[in-house]
Parts: sequence; structure tokens; C-alpha cells
Amino acid sequence: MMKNNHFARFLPNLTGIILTMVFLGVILLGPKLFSYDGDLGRHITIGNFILDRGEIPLQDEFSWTMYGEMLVPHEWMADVFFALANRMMGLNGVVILTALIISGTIAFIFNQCLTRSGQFFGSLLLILLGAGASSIHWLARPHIFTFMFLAFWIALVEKLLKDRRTWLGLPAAMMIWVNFHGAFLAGFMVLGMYCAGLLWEYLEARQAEEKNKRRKQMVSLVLAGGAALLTSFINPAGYRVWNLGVGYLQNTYLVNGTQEYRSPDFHIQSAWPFLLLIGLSLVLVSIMASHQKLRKADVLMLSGWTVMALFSARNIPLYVVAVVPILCQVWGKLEWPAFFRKRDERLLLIENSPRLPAWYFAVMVLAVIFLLGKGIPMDLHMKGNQFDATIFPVKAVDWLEKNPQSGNGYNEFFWGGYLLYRLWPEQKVFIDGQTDFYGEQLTRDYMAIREMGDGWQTKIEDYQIDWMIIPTKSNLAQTLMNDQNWNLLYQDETAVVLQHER
Amino acid sequence: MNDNQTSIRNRFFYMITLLLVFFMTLRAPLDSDMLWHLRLGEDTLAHGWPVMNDIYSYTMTGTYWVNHSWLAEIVLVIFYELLGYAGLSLIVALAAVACAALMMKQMNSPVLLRAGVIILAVMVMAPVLTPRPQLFSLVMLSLLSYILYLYKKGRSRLIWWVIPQFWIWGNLHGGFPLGIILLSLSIIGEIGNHLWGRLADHLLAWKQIGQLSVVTAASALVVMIHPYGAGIWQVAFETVNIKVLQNFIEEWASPNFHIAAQQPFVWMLLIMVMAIWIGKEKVDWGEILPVLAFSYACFMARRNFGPFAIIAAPVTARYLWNVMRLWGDSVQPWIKKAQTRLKLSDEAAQKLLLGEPQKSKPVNLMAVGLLFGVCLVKLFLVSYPVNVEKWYAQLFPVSGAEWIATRYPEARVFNSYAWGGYMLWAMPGRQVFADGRTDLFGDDIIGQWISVVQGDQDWEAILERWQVDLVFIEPEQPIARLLPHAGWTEVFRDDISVIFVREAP
Repeated sequence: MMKNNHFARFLPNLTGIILTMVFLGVILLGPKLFSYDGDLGRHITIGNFILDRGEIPLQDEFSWTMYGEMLVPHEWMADVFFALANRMMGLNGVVILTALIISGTIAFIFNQCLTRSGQFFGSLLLILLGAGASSIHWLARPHIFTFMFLAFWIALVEKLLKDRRTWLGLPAAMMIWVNFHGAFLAGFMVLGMYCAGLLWEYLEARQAEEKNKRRKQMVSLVLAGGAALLTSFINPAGYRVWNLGVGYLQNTYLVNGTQEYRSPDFHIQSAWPFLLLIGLSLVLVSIMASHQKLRKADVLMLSGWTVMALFSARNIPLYVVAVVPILCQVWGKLEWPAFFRKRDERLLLIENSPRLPAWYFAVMVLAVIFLLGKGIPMDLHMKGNQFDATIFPVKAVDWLEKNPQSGNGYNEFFWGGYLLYRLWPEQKVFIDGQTDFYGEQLTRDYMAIREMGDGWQTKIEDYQIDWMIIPTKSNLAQTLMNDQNWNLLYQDETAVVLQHER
Repeated sequence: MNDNQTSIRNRFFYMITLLLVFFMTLRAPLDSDMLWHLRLGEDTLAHGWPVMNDIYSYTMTGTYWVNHSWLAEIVLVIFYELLGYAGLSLIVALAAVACAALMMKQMNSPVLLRAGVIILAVMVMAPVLTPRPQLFSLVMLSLLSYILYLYKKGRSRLIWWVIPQFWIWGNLHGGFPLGIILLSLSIIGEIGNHLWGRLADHLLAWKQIGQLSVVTAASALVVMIHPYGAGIWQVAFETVNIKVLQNFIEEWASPNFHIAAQQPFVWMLLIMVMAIWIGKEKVDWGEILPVLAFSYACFMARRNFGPFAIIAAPVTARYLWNVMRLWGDSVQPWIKKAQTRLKLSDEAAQKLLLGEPQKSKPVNLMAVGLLFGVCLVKLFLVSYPVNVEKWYAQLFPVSGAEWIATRYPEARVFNSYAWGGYMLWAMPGRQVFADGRTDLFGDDIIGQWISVVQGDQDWEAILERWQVDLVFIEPEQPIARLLPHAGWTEVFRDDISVIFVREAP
């Protein structure tokens, strides 16, 4: 018996298995983590800038269109992490870093689910659905840090409701979060929803003791939230980081024009787990309506985050963080048959039995580091973690390295980050993915040229564009290749380089 | 307040709500698809039988096509012939009022709450309220939902009327499967109520469930009494499987919640869920399952906002009323306290809160009359021919079409998909490349159309294959930039359209 127990201590628990599965799942995605988003190159470039010069850029040095303009480096710490990972292991390092953050967060949420529901199968089913739903935005970009911070933030808020002495956690967490990603605003939204829920319960409460409890909880949240608000100003841009986040969300042109801000398209399979979670929410609410009194904060969190995720697909991972533990709690209150309950309790007992630290996970991570370091591809298509030459202008940039162009270059928006990654500081870009910095007018001008809209030729002259690197199949490339004022310098299946004859 | 006074107040708000719905849904008849429906309706009336093989396009000419809306098209044409544009505006508003009235009849809640939910429901439906045959599906679904409601209330015999209703519905519009889905899910939900004991009151007896199943099966069969027979079912399945519909046609795409007009769907869904959650009442699976199904349908295609609103509004009102009653108990002591402080009698307090209907009867009549007058003014404005034609000129390529009709009466035109309906209406006898009949054109032809307008690599080959003489397209389409470089000459341009003609070799 003793022997068996000792042996069992070395077996992985389910949280460890989920951690490992998700980690390997992200590793399998490999280059897809930066093929659907062109900004990784920019993040690495800014991170390198900070590491090399020991200073955070407060003025633009990366584009020629906005050179010298004030920059709000709201993701600088995330950029440093990506640059460090890239320095250590190249893009393999970036993929491993992304996999660690995503898998760690999913495992953390699963743990929250188990705690709140006391149910094993329900938590497993919902976390798998949650992982599937959040995978719609599994990308190597600073947003994954918000995914992680939001999970910790909600746990801290829950802890604060139980123990007022833990109030310092929120301002401390915010001080770090605000330097990692602009979506730190989500933390304040969560606080708002909890406060509104508590106020609602306070107004409904009949007994003085209950009222007093809610009042104390509200005061704790407001004070800790106020302290977090103050620490949110501790960043290189100070209060301007708030202007940037709020201002961008108010710009309908930029928000509507950015793919990730659009509503989810449920015809795409990757959105189906999210749709299933919405359906499950409706069913669980319907079943439990007459049985269970749930916290008003949970009602508001579920409704609020559902709306935000429906508004922008990029909020789906945050929806998962906020809503899946609540659904697990409701699931845990369902009346399950005794046969099912017994088995579930046994598994939960195993899950909660004392285990050694997750050595198997550490071994797995080390194995992945070793294999990728040896140049063995681990992604599904065995291409290795590199920029896909059918999506990014890899060969064209090879050519540009050997044949540098002078003057003002116009580039495809999606390629801006990659061009910085390969060609900066020798070459600056026209635009890249950071539309919150470039603003509406420049983005409109960029689009007018790209789509050959009204006055596109005049805009080329206004900006004094000397050369272009644009997709070969674009209408713009097809038109300019037939235009005698433009010379074709380079062409492959992905990109063309054209020079303006003046 | 006695029963008579309550009844007067209720009737007043009922009338006001329906008039508001009428006012909200009176719009100018500006829908491209409406125009080809009118063309087909006129031809059906002229020939005495719907067209069985396509004659309106040169890409699918001679192909067997099920015109599932043939009867609705005749109704639209009759309204148009009798009242002109006003007839088309009127038919939309009347259909919306009919839906609203039938929804209100299913709500056992105070009239003001009903009014609020109805206004929200009409806002949900607004994007699909246009003079098209799907309007008839909305009315038919509302009627079916009302009959089901009465059936659950014990009016057993009424349910048999569903069968002839489906016969008419099947001939009016291909949306009749919505009704079959509603019936089927109601049956499954009722079985669920029995098995899980979720609802003690108003359970349908097993015999009634059996009766409902027979009616559903008979309804599914009766729709085939149709000029196209069993083909009516085939078209329903084929239409939802066309990929290009989901990717290209807006009404078949997932909702875009950045557009304010598409947000009321989420608000209604959320209000309903929160009301269920807070109301703490056992749910009726017979009504929740259809709501779930129609919510799913909305997430997949925004054209389902209408059916969702029709099914969800009565449910929302019922659960909201639960919440209000629950909160009412909490608020009651506060009202009593305020009443004591203000030294008001029970009667005076009620008058203060709910008004004094017997004195306000003439005022009520005036208010109804005034609102009706405002509706008439709006009807006049939105359907006044000079106005409508001005809006047509802003929306459709009126000048371009006239130019083609005069200069190139025989030319084969590659047209904008959005203008197909307008061309069939304004240029009778001329065949188009494609129009709104996506179920006829399918992925192949619409895919070719997209390739051309986007200037994909095979665009020239496609125009060559169909021996196109003229390209008649929006100036901002990518192809409009490429044509001048590929041997086509721009011969006409205005704000709406541009026309290119193939240069002689």
C-alpha cells in the first residue's frame, strides 16, 4: 500500500496533463502563431531596441511617415520578453514562451473551475471547450499576457472578497499588467462588474448582517481598485496609456477595419467552441434558474463578457477566463445521478491527493527546447518555426538586403512588422500593424493607395513614394507593373518590388 | 381600479403600441430583391403559372428553378398595382403589426411591459423588414406560435388549422421549415418537461403531444401541394448549403455587432437570460428549445433575426414579468412607507402610479388619432413617387441602365450582383449575369462573379466564356481599375455606376 502511494505521487494529476496537452498543442501550431498576425516582428524589434539601448522608445524611430512623433509604448515589457525569447532560441523561443503562457493560464483556469465547481468531469468538459474557444486568438503577441493577467486578476478579486488583507495584490498586479498590454482596462471592467453585483445584492439584502457584509466587500474593492488605478499610471507613458486605449476603442474606422476587432464569424470552425459555450450558458441558466441562487456579480460577468466577445472576436479568450469558472460553478450544482457522482468524487480525490511538483511538465518543456534547438520541427506541417514565405515577403526581403532601396518605401500593412524585423534600422516602414499609433488619416491614405481608391495616384505623389513592396497578386501590383512610370525590380509569387521613375 | 378601467387602459396602450410599430416599420420600398420578385410576380400573373425554367439570366437560362415565393410575389404585385409604392410600404408595416399583435396576445404580463418587449422585438426584426416574400414567413410563424400558445392553453381543436396554414405558407415562401422546426422542438421540449419534471403546470398530455406530432408530419407533407411538388423541400436544404451565401451575401452572414441595427438581438437574448436567471422559475422546455434553436440560427445568419424575435419576445415578456413580481415584493414596503409619509389613500396612490383612465378617454382617443395621422403622413412621405425615385437614383444605377437601354439594346451585360433585381425590373426582357436568386446561381456562378469583380487571375477568361459585351459595375470595384488596362474602354460614368465596353480587336 505504501509502495503504491509513493508511486502515485509521481503520476501526473489532471491539471498537469491539461497543462502539458495545451503546451504541446500550441507547439504544434508553431509558425501559425505568427502567420495570422503581422506584428510579431515589430514587437521583437522594439524589444531589441530596449535591450540594446537600455531605454524605452518614447518617439517613433520605426516608420518614416511618423518619424519623431510621440510613441506610447504600452506593450514594452511584452516586447522585451519576445525579444529575449528570440535572442535565446530565435522564433522557437517565441513559440515556447507563447505556449508556456497559454498552457499555464489554461491550467490555472482549470484549477479555478475545480475549486468553484467541486466537479471533475464538468470542469474537464468546460475547460476543453474553453481552450478550443480561446484558441481563436492564440497568437504570439502581447494580448496573451492579458489572457494570463486577467485570470490572475479575477482570482485576486475573489480572494479580496474573502480576505480584505489581500488588497495589495490588485495594485501590484496592475503595475505589471499596464506595462505588458493595453488591455489592462479589462481589469477595471471586471472590478466594475463585481462592484455593481455587490451593490445589487446590498440593495436586495433584507438582513443588516448581510448588508454590512456586502458594504464591506464593496469598500474593499473600491479602495483596492483605486490603488490599482494609481499604479496604472506607473508606466513610461503615464496617463497617456489610458488615452491610447480608450481613444482607440472610440475610433470606429480603425476598430471596424481591424480584423481581430470584428464580431466572430460563426461559419468558421474555430468559432464553434465559443458558440457551444454560449449555448451551454443558456441551457445551464435555464436548468438552474429555479434551483440555485447565483451571485449577481456572476450574472453581470457572464452577460458582460458574452457581449464583449460577440462584439470583438479578440475578446473570446478573455470571455473564457471570466466565464468558464462561473459555468463550472453552475454545473457543479446540477443534480447528477449517484453513479456518476461517485466516479467524479473518486477522480477528484486523486486530483487533490498530494503530488510532487509537475516534474513531467518540466521534462516535457526541456525536451521541446532540446528538440527545437536541434532544428527538429515540431509543428503540424513540419515546416519549422519560421516566417512562411507564402505569407511574408521572405525572398523579396533577401533581395532587398542585397539591393537596399533609397527614398520612401510603401509597404503592405501586414508586412510592416516583418520588414522591421528584417530591415530596421536601415529601412523604415510606411505603416505596420500598430494602427492605434498611425491613426485614422494615415491608415485611410494607406488604404486609398492599396485599394486604388479616389486620388490614389495623387497620394503616392504627396507622400513622395519612391518604391513599393506589395503582394504580387494585388490589383495595385498588377496595375503598376503595366504602368511605364514604375519599374519592376523584383518579383516572386508573394511579393513584388517596384521603383517609381521620376 | 376596476376591471373596466383596466380594460380601457390596456386597449389604449395596445393600440398605441401597434401604431408605434406601424410607424416604425413604414419605410420607402428600396430593396433590390423586391424588384425581381415584382418582375416574376408580374410574369406569373400574365402567364397564369409560375416560370419553371430560368429565362432571366444568360448564365443559367433554361435551368429548372423552383420559385418558392410565387404566391407571395403575386400578393406583392397586387399591392403594387393597386397602391403603387405606398402599397409596398404598407404591406411591410401591416405584416409587422400583425406579428406584433400576435406576439402581444401570447404575453401574460402588464400591457406596458408587453409594449416595451414588442418595441424591442420590432427593433430586432427591423433589418429583415423589407417588401420581400420572407415577410409572409414572419407572419406565418407568428400565427403558428400563437396557435401553439392557445393549444397549450387548452384550445385543442385549433391545432388542426395548422395543416392548411402550412399549405398556404409553402406556396408563399420557402421559409416554412422554420414552422416545422418550431413544431418539432416544441414536441421535444414537451417530452422533456414530462421526463425531467421541470414544469408541473400546463404540461401537455401525452395524447396532445401525439396529436401535435401528427399535425407536424401532415404539415411537412402538405407543403408539397405546390407547383413544384417535392422540389419545395429540396430548395430549402439546397439554399442553406450554398457557401457563397454565407461568405458574400450580408443577410446570410453572422451578425456584425458593430452595427447598431444588429445589436437589439443580443440585448433581447441577454434580457431573456437574465430574466430567467433572476426570476427563479422553472422553465418550460417547450418554449426554451425553440428560442435556443432560433438564437443559434441568428448567430449563423442575420436574416433569422425576425424569426428569433417572434419566438423569443413572448418568452422574454413572461420571464421579465416574473422578475418584476419578485422585485415588486421588495419594493412594496418602500411604496407603503412613501404613501404613509405623503398621507395618500390606496386609491390616490394607485391613481398616481397608474393614471386615471376614465377621465382620459377623450385624450386617449385624441392620442390614438394623432399617432394614426402621423403614420399617414409618414406613409405619404416614404412612398411619394418623386421621393422614391430620387432615392432609387441614389441607390440604383438609373442613368447607367437608361444609357445601356438606349445605346446597346442587344448587348450582353456583366452586371453588379446587387443590381440584378433592378435590371430585371427596369430593363424588361434583358438577361443578366446574376441577380438575387442565389439558390439558382449557386457557388459556381456567384463564385465566377466574385472572381471577375475582384480581378482574380481568371477574370478575363470568365468574361470571354460568357461573351460579355459590357461591364456594368460600381466604380469602386477592383475590376473597374483593371479593365482600362486590358482592352476595355470606359464609356459611361456617374457616382453610382461605370460602364466599360470591349474594344474592337
